Amino acid sequence: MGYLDFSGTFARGDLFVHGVMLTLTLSIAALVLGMCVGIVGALMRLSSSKVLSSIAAAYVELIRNTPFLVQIYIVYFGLPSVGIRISEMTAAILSLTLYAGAYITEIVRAGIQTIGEGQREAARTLGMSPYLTFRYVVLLPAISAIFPALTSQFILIMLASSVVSVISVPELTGVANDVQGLTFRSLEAYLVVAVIYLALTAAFKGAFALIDRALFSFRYAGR
Amino acid sequence: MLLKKLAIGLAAMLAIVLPAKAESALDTIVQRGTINVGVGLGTPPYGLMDASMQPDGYDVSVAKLIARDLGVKANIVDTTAANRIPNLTSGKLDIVIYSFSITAERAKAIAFTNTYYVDQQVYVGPADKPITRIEDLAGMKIGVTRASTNDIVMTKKAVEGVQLQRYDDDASTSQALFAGQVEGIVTSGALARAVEEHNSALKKQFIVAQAPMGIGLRRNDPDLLHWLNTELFMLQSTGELQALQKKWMGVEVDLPRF
Amino acid sequence: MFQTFGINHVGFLLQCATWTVVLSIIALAGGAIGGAIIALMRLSRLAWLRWIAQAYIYVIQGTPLLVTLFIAYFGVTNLGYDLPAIYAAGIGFTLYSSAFLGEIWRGSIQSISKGQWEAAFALALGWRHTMLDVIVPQALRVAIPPTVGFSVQVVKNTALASIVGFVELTRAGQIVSSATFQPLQVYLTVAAIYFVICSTLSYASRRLERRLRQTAN
Repeated sequence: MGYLDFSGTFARGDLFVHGVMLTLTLSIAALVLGMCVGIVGALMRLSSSKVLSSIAAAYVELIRNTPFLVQIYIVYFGLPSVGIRISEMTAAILSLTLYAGAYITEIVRAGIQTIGEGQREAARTLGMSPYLTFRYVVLLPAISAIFPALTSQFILIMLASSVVSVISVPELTGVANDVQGLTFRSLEAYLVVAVIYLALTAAFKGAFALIDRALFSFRYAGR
Repeated sequence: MLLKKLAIGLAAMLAIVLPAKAESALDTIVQRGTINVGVGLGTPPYGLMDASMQPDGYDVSVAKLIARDLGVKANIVDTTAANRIPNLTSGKLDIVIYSFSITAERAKAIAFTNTYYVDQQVYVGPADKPITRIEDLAGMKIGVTRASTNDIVMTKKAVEGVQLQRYDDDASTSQALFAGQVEGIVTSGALARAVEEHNSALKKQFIVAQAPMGIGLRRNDPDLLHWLNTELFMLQSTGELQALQKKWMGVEVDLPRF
Repeated sequence: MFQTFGINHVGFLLQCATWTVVLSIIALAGGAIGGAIIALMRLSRLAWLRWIAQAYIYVIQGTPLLVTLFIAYFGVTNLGYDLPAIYAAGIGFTLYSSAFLGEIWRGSIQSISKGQWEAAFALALGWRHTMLDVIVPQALRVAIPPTVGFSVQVVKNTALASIVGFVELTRAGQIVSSATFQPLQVYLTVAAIYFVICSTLSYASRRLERRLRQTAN
């Protein structure tokens, strides 16, 4: 060894393309579903019902204090022994969603809490309906406040999706595992996927920055 | 005085130079006093943890005999199927005893000893769904262990309509079968027996390929290769290897030689 | 040949959990050294030093830890070094935690108000003395809660070392699961052990944060 030989790795270019598509599918699905879980979770966490808020708190603590890898093993290998059997793709999306949901719950909760009670009262005094108040005074500023955190969360989800290769989902890292098995050149395969992940991270950071400018133009108004 | 200093200096130099000159891993291992052996502790009956949580199994027992006859300590290193060759070529392991099937492709990357076991790659699936030909697996989800012989064989045969699910080690592959995540698996005959024993609803159905297994080592080391072949020959003539086969596999097999 | 999941297995899991702890300590100790260097480089007056540190952080935070581990694992030996799995894993985790601790600590140092710098300079303290005697002691207090919080991530992420073949808690779970064929019980036990370690650290981090906020007021 000691030298690098990428010829065998590059010859499997088509596999890497499939891997990228699957990584993107998994990350976007997990983000969208994780957002839903996160919003419900945050509302439960902030609700006046003690039961709801402790359920949400327990969920967040359980997910955040155990490894994602172990969560996947429980969902994929463990659940079937109590009769719940789901395919590897469903298992991957479910575990990624549960994982992302816990972190997004905390992000959304922090976002809602940044909107003071005073602002809501002010809106009501001005005669805004509860719906309009929620939409313009609570939701939009809250989303704008949490957008940067959501952006980094998305990148973290994408990077975490590499772990689902262990339950035979052939996403980008799974492809690298397969290619190293075919070429016996392990370092080369992983260097290639590292570069691809970096490119994806850069592309998404750029895209999110553009979305941020377009959606929350009011933040940039005074500058 | 000067002479004494010179002698000490010379001796010190020799001490540095001599081990460096020992190019064969055989000498390195003996001098080091330990041999690093790669095994899979999640691949019963080849490698497993026994009830008192010590490494055991056919492969582990063979490793211990080899260490005994080298006069060194066996350092049993758990590894995954996909990491067997990289761990050898990168020097992390001296030898790999890991139900390692001999293939011409692999032999370009590493060297194999003569066979120490001959297993089969078999299809294991639900007993109530008998299948006799590989073509009839079409439309099914079949589990294999990534980069292992069953993966290589199934990938090469590329039966139309078979969806191959690749797992990192035999432990995951058999778990996927028990969990019903795949309809069947292609695996070693030894693991197939273990699976049948555990769950009578699953049955070994047909042989996909023969799998002669050897001990893996780095290429360009004729001394170690020759010693290992000698050792395997001796273990057979003393009957120790056959005893291990009986103990772990329940059968004695003929061991063809190159 | 098959065993029933029992007390022996739990003992084995706990024994391997010590490797999880050892690996976490190595990662944090290595990351502390690397992180301090990265933080200082990020705050340096030399543009090229800042640029190198920033590029390093970008690369580590932009690739999955699993891939970093594979590269460390196979890369180190590709360079001709023959290292056992614990060192290879240790190097991989050090690379990872250096980037994150570097950023946490840079933030802590920058949270100390500019006035402190100006006051120190006015007293004719040099950059080195200002940094070591004035800024770092104050930044340390700010840095402790997020550092403890990050250690939770490190403990959890050591599970990934199982994939490159290092026998820690998660790999022990796989081994036990293959011998008992009781994955649910095994992995729930594994998860419970992680939970005890991580939630203790999380709790400590929150306590420290609260205390810091109280003393700040």
